[in-house]
Amino acid sequence: MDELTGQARSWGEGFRAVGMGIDRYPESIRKHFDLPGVRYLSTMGIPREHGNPHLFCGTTAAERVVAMEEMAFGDAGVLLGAPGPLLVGVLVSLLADDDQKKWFYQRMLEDQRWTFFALTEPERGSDASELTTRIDVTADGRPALSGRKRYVGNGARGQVGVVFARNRPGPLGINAVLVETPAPGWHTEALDTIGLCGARIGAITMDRVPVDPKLFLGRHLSPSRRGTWAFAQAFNLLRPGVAAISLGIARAAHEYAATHRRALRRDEQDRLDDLGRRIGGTRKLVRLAAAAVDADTRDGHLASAAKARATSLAADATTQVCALFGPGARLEHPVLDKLARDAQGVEFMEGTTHMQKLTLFQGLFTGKLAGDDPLRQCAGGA
Amino acid sequence: MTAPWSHCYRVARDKGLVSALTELPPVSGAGGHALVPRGAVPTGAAELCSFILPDGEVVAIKGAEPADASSALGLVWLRLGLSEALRDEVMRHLHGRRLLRHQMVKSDIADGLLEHLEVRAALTGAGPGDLAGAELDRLHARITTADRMLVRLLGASGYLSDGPGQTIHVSGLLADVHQGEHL
Repeated sequence: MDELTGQARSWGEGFRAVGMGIDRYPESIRKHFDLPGVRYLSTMGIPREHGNPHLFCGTTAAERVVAMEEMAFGDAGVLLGAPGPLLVGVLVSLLADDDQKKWFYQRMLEDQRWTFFALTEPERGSDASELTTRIDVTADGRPALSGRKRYVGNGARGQVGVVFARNRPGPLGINAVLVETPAPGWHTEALDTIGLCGARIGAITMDRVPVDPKLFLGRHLSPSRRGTWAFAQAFNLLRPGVAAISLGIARAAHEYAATHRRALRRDEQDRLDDLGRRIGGTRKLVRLAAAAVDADTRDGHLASAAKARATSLAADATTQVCALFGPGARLEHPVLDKLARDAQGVEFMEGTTHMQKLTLFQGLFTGKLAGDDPLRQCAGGA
Repeated sequence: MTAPWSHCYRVARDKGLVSALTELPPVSGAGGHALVPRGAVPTGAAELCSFILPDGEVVAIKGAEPADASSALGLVWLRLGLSEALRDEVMRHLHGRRLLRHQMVKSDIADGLLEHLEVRAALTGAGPGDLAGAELDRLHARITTADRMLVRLLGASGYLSDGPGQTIHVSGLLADVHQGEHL
């Protein structure tokens, strides 16, 4: 992992050089497709046997948390705005049959393409059980998607992605369908955000968008194995990576203070040192959470803990560091202002802190999170 | 849980504070204070006060050998065990009163659990001397935060001197005695 850390750190340096510009003009990322980090993200998650040319393929959560922390340390907006399989890639790796994998990986390898993960709906949020986007059968007998999605990362410019929709009521009626755009009936709109502007989240409207029956993910599995049960595992795998993004943002704020505020009072230095220790502690939790989901994709409780912990760390770190620079810090230090804005945005990715806490409580209550030694699977406990 | 410095975690969780303290030598913090089981008070030590807990009596003294790295690490494990035992007690208490269905209660328990997981992650794989004194202080502070959140959920029963709140009170004194050992 040391080699990956070193590589990802240098990729992050490239991100930092262009991050402020992309924050202001998100589409300017198109000029930076040759950055090594952007190239890496373009294929991250594609297995080597499917043609991934990189030494590290990012097919495990353990690899992703290392790479994503370093790249977010460079710039989280560039990381999230870069083309690549990210969320869709994880779902494909879990659910797709061989033909679907070939279909998806081929598209991702032949060009740098943005992907979209269209789950959240305007009035329903991200609760899959509340999905209203429909899969209807049209007059010519083909399935078609109708409905609306919102807050979808790279939603306005995504070229390949997954749409979550239902073909019948109930939990077994939920499907994830691979879609390629442009497509008839597919309309998108970019949504301006306060931070993480590079991610260019968007709204999608679908009006009888035709889909290929062969591209229903997990068509070789029973409905119970390809529905919310599978999605939950994909989110378990993704959550440590989101936590790593927060960790990278917190580290960037800490480093900014250490670099730009050299003459600190004793109490200020103590606070900064304590923040550094908190970052180290949270990193350990994030890495153990990644190991836990790699060992068992159903074991997402530590991932919830890591995400909740890292999100609050990033928010606290950026606030504390701003306070070290005194009144007007965010206006005088645009980098700090950006970090503070970015830190808030991670809260809304892969479940808010409230949802993570409910997951944790449920794990404790049902005994799925071993009260005696919750880390034993990933680290052998004490 | 076989390492000697973490064995007291298991004892703290299963038996209580006094039993766990017997697993460690009687050691003092930077101010010379110590909390030791009644039977382990060193000869000549000045006795300051004492507490009766479910598994025995603990005495606050002045005059014991300074804590070494192994004891310092063991004390964090010990307090984690007590705090997790408190979490179990809170779950039983609230379950019996059918209060676990309330989301704010769930959230408070999850907050306590988050503190426990962060502390445990930091301790995992760490041997004596691996963690700086300032980091041990930080871990003690996280445990204290968890204790305060969780003990509130016991209502007034957590404030009685013969209830679980008293163990947590003495655990807080342990943190107080051993803070700043790196200074």
